[in-house]
Amino acid sequence: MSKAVKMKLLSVLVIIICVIVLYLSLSSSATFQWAALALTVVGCAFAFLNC
Amino acid sequence: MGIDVTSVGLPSMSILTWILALLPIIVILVLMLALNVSGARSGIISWVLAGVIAYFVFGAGPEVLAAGTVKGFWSTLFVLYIIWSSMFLYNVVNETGSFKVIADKFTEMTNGSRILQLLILGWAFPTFIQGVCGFGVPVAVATPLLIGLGFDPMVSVVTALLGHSWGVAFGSLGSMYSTMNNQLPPEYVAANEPTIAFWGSIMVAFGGFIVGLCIIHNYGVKVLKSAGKGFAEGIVAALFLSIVMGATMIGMSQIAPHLGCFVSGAVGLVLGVLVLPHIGVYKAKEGSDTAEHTSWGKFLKAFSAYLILFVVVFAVNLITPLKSALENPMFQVGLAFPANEIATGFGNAAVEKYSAIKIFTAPGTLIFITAFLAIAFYKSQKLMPEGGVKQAWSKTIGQSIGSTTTIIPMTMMAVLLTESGMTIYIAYGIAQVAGQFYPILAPFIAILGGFVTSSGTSSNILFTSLQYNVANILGMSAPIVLSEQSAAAALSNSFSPGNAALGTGVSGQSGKEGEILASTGVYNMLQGLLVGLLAFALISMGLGV
Repeated sequence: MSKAVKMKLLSVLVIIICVIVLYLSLSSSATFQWAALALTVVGCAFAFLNC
Repeated sequence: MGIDVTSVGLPSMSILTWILALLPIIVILVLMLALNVSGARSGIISWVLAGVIAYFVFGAGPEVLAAGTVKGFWSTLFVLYIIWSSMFLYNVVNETGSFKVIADKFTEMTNGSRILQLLILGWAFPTFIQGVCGFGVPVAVATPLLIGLGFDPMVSVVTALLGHSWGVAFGSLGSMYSTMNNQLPPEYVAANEPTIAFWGSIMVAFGGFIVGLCIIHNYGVKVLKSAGKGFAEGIVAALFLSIVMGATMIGMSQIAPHLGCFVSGAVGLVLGVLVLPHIGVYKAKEGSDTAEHTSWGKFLKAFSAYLILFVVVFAVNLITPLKSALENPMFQVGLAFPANEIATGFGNAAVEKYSAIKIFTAPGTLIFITAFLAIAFYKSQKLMPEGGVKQAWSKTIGQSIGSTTTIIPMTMMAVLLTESGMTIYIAYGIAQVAGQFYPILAPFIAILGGFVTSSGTSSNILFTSLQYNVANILGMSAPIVLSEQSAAAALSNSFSPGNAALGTGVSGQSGKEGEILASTGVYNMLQGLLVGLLAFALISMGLGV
């Protein structure tokens, strides 16, 4: 498996983790939701650099 | 027109707000078309932009942004499940070398007639493969087969691109069709699914008819150096195949729409091979070029994966008690979401199982089951080489990860637009200017989506809600407008850069993507126009209501 494929797989994994946190934040406070959204943006930035 | 967008809880209509609502889509188009940015990066940028506009312009709070993003991610899982399973099945069959055996048998059965080979292997065969695999696989399989039979590489790629496109709407065991339904209000789908499927199949069958004409026109111009000669040689076969495959597609839409493309392709293949070679102009001629004899036993072994799939899919879909048991609510997985609303009042109701996946009857599950049964069969027949399964997995990961990273952010962006009311806002704006001529415009919206994403499914994700809302706002038949979206998004697969690159890749013509797109682009614009005109005529006659 090439490094490019491995990095794309890692990017998907990072997004999955961020989305799970985002989902959990839905039953929490607005502050936690903003934090989860910020985390998701960071996760997507990581994917952006690797895709 | 008396359309008041504030009545649904959205900000009052203004050109600036409308442009801002449309901006994420415009940005994704500019990034991919003009700046050649990858689909994944374009999707991520547009998702962030959609969030910023939703917050600052539409008053969407963090709960709306979070819910829209998670719902978008969840919606991709169903599609990704199909992509990964279908690529794995394709690679399993490919590892056994069965595709060459299949191609040899079809050559033998067509009396060596070039136009029959082109239409059956370049149209019916990709349609059949599209029925279960899709996602570029039909092009990847049919193109080398046609080149192997001696066709010009450019003709082979264009034919495979055109040939597989029409069935995409009901292909991949209904992935694109399911995606469309997932984008629509559940209560609307529950009440109107047979009508949606019926009109979708009518428009898709019409698209198939045009595809047949395009293939023989291209063959005439490129090979026979005369469009007239192409039509003279191929019109009987093209009409025959378009009628049998189109009629099957329409019939299947009322029985099992998810299988429409699969069964249509199978019928086209079987009747094309059994009937067409016995029609006068296609009968065997002295000294015609035919392949070596391939026994039926060898062919059936090679073809066994698709026969297994046929049995598995039909068993699950047609044995009602089995289907009911497998679709028990306890076997359906979906996420619960609380209600939310934006500042002006537009809201989304709470839902217990959003876009629930039926674990045991999902197309991805059926394809994976088939792949494992096929592996067992191929191993028992000693057709699977040592390490073949591992190799198939490895190839599947490499082939599927690209579309995975593209589809996830793109869907998050599309669902976020819907969650925050921006899609409906865009629809209201279009409704106010397009008026009664909207049906002529609708296919080009779908083609645009297919072109930029190289996926009819992604086009449906982007534009289904838009088409549905505009149809309702203008008081037109939503099923017919949705059928335009289905057919045109499917047909756009022949005109997508991703598929063109796939075609050049498998045919050893890298760098000629522009030449291919120039050919398929003209055909696709014609297809879009004809689909739009037909829909306009049908709606003008008061049909589809």
